[in-house]
Amino acid sequence: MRLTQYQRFYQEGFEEGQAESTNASFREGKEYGLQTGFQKYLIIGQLKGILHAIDKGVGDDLSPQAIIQISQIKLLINQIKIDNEYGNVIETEKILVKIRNKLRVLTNALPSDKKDFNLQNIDFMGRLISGLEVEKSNKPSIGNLNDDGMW
Amino acid sequence: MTASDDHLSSDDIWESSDEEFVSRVPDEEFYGKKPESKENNDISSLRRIHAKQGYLAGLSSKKEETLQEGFDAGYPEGGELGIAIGEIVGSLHYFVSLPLDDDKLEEGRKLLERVKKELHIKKVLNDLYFDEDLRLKEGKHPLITKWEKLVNELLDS
Repeated sequence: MRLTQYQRFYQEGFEEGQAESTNASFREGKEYGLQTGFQKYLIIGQLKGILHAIDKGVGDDLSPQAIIQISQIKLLINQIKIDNEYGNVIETEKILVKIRNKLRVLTNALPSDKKDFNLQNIDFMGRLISGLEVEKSNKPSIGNLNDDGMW
Repeated sequence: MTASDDHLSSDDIWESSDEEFVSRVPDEEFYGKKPESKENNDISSLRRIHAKQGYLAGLSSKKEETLQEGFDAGYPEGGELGIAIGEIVGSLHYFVSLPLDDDKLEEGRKLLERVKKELHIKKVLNDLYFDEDLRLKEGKHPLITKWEKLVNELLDS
C-alpha cells in the first residue's frame, strides 16, 4: 500500500516515538516489578529463614506437631513459581494462603516466646522491611519510598 | 535583456527565495526522518504537524507494552531478592524469640535492629547496586552476601 505524504510523515514520527518510549518505559516497568516482587515474596524468605535456623539446630527440640507442619510447609514452598505468568500468580496466591495458615500453627508449636513471635509480628517485620510500615520512632523521617536513592 | 538573461534555471523557478527552502524547525522540535535535501517550508510545516502527531501516538502506543515487559522482567528478580532478604530477617527474628542466654540474645537483637535499617527495601533496591538496565552490578547483591555471613555466624555460635 502506498502512503500519502501526510501518512508518511505520521509514520516516521510514530516509529521515532515508539523507539524513544521503549527504554524509559521498560526501566520504569522493571523498577515497579522489582519492588512488587520483593514485597510479594519476602514472607516466603522469612519462613525459609525460620526453617534455616531450625535446621541449624537453634532452639530446643521440636514437638511432633511442629515437625509435621515444617515438612508440609517445605513441600508448599517448593511448589511456588516466581514469575508473573497469570496461572502461576493465581496458584502462588493459593499456596501463600495455605503457607500462612501453616505458619500460624507452626509459631504456636515452636519453642519461642509466643508473645513476640507470631504471624502478626512476622507480617509486621515484613512490612517494615518492605517499606509498607514504619516504626513509630521513625515516622517523622520516613516518607516516599523513592527517597534515599531507591532508583 | 540578453538571451542569457531570458534563460531560467530550475533553481530560478523552484527556489525563488533561499529562505523559503530552509527548514525553520529546530532540531529539538523535529520528529521523523530528516529530509536529505532542502525542503519547502510549507512541506516542512506539514511534516512537523503530522510527524509530531505520529510521534505522540508512537510514544503512548508502545509505552503500555514496554511497561509490562519491564514489570515481567523485574518481578521475578525482585522476588528472588525478597526471598534472600526475608531469609536473613526470618532467621534473626526467630533467633531472638528463643529462650537463649542473655549475651546471645543481645547480639541477635542488635543485628535485628541493624537489619531493619540496612536491609530496608530502599537500601536493597538502590542505584548503588544496579546498572543502568537495572541488573545487579555483581552477580549477588553485596548486602545479601554480607548479611548471610553475619547471620550464619550467629546461628553457628
